[in-house]
Amino acid sequence: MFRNDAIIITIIHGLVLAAFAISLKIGPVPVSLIDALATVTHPVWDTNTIIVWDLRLPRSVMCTLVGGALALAGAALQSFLRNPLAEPSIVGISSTAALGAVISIASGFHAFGALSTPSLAFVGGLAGGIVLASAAYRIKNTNNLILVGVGISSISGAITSLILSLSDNPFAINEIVFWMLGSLTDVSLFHTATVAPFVIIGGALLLGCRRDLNLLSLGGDTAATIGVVMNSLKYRVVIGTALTVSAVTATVGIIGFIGLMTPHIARPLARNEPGKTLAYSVPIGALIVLLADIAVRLTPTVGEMKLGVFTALLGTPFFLYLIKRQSG
Amino acid sequence: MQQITTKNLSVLIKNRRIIEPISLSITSGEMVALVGANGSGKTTLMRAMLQLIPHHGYCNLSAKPPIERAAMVSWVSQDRDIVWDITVRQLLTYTAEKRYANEKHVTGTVGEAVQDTLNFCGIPLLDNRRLKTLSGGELTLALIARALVQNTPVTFMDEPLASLDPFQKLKVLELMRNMAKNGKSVLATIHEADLARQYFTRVLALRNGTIIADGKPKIVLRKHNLETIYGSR
Amino acid sequence: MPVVTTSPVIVSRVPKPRLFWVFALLISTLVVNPTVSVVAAAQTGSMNAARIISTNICIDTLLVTLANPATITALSPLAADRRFSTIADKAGGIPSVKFTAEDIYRLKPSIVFVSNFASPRTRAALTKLGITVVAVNYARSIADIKANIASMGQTLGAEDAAGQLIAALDMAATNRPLPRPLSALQYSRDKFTHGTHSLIADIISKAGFSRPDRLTSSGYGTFLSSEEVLIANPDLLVLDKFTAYASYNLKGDYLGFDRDSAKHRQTAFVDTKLWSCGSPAASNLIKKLNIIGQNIVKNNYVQK
Repeated sequence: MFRNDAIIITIIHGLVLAAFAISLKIGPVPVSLIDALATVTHPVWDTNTIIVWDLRLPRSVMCTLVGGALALAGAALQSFLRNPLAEPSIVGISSTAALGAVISIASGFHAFGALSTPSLAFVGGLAGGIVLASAAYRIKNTNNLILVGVGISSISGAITSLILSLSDNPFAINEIVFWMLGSLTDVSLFHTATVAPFVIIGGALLLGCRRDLNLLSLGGDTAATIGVVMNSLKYRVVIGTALTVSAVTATVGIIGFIGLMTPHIARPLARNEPGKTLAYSVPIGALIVLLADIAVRLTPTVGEMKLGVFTALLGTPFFLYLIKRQSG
Repeated sequence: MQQITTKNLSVLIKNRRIIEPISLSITSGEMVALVGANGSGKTTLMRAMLQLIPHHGYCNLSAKPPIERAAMVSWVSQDRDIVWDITVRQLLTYTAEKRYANEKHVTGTVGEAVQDTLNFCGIPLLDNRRLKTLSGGELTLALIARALVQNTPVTFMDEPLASLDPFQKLKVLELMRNMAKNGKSVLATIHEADLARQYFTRVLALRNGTIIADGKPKIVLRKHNLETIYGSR
Repeated sequence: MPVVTTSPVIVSRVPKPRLFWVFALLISTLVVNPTVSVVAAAQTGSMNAARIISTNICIDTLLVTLANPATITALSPLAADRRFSTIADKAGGIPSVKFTAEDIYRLKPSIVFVSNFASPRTRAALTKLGITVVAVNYARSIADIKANIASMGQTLGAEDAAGQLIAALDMAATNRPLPRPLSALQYSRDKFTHGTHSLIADIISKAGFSRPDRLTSSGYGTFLSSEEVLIANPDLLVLDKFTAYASYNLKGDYLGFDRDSAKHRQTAFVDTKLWSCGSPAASNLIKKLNIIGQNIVKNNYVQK
């Protein structure tokens, strides 16, 4: 059994590395990766270096962070809520993050600097997380967390629509709509460096829940009798999800369906073990987003194709297939 | 040796007393049947003792953190809601991993504990079967095995014989008897009075949240007592 | 029990011309345009040959009138689209470029014009690559248009052309004043009316009209019901002639204004693209509205 695990992990990580390398190579400008690598030892500031190190590399790293974070949060939520159709947007955090970004763009705060919209969006996401955590305090039945999340989503969505409809500036609206569609275009090392700590901390928190999530297989009550402190687990899942999803959504917008799809791909490989599903979801999610972003860059459209659109096109038939399998 | 004791334990839900103050204790090697009409509070009493719902009064389990409680009492609930279709072996392994996490054992012990439990319960051939593919009786045995792998002196069971055919019921009862022979105690809710008389050493009769009888099954479960226990409120 | 989940769906009836823009830019993303291929830039010509890129339709409009087309390397994807662009003819031969740092860099531009609302990420990336990036503000008044023309003219070394355009705008604004005071109001198809801090309002006022008494609101604008518009009783209603995504004429679509009133001279159906961007086309629109105003007075048309 251990040998199979090692083989699976090796193959998945190998695929991630390969996709990462391809992602570095894909783009309108032909680059030489070897030359770029050589600049580590012999720094040369030519445009090849800038493009590879300041544009392609952050974009590829961000793909892995986004994919890993969303997939991990999705897997944790599905295991904790014991619901195979759960995903990060269900708890409302991506909607409140989007609201933060919309407020930033509509008010003009957007123009102050590279981090203005991401910070407001991050604050929005955390605010959603706080509302969720305080609701979680009162709620014993975890299914009611979904209801709270849907409520948070609806309110944020309504306010976002209100802001959009009251704005008369076509370009601000354009920025808002395109931001919400989700894109990794031109992310910088700076963006990546600000997202990474939250993803790592939140991710570590979620991965630490693996053993307890295994014990939820028979429900919360039985888990409590085996020694799981349900309150602690609840908060770790909510806070871990809030940190990772807020950080990622704040920078790249709403990328849907990764959190929903990836655990379902990881689960059979993990032999249905909830904890292992979390661990496998991270590299598989990274792989999916890397491949999706490569596809986005290769699609010959006149304007830039948005990643969120692409994942929705991929995810919707997958989602329908899941529903069919659930009811079948 | 007293394993579980309560003193004036009562449960209030929405200001209504579901469980009146109850003082009882469970000692080693007992097979206790908890009987009563539906709605008399059997499940509520067990869940309160397990600290799954808040209660007033004293229970010796309440002062202990969950991981220590897990070493004292295990629980087989009535729920058969399985979301992730794992194997029986996986189910027992996760329980054992959590239970023995802080004890300085090599992982080999977890595997051994799981195998020993499967053998004890008479289900070694079910080890790689997925939970959703099991029959009612097989699933009940698997869930009892999961509770047993915790290696606790006391096990609570809620309606373990529900929806089982007569042969399956006997298998489960035989397993409980083996547990008692090995010094473990069982507290189980049961509706079949004749089976209770046959297999259990003690009966607690619950009516409207109060213990109205506590004694040997032959005496408590006499025919003319049944109306008092189960009769209309 | 599975719970059906949906990602938050943002549904909003975004008023024109905002919807105009959203659809414009969304369509441009999805349209595969094989005839436009931006070839890998070769370093041809002298080092001093200007290679100008504009990434916004409003800036495209100004650029094409100010600069020599030979110096323009690329425009925004909407420039050649007749539904949104007033310079579609002139832009026909000029390729379009995606708004990403690498795609723009690949064309080795000497200068890139961006809207002040363009993605800061891409702007920062362009700057990092050593490209000169100039932001041009979205014009909300004739004065803004003149300022943009002046500053772009200076940047491009086309002060003369700029001066002519500015003069034309000034000329248009000094129309024959209307013989008697008339009020006018712009009213979009989705019931949004632009406020005083908008280009169309400035155009209407330069054409000689005032705002209806009840509606002297400043700011960007507000939603009005048909009843409120009728009560305000403007002498002239400036309505939308087309939408970008419907090829039919909208005259019948305006609720509360039946087909008969469409024939009256007190409604003017104007193509939105003429005032969505601040461009020299604004002067034509000012003149046209002024003529309509003159005719209203001449024909002694009085609102019932």
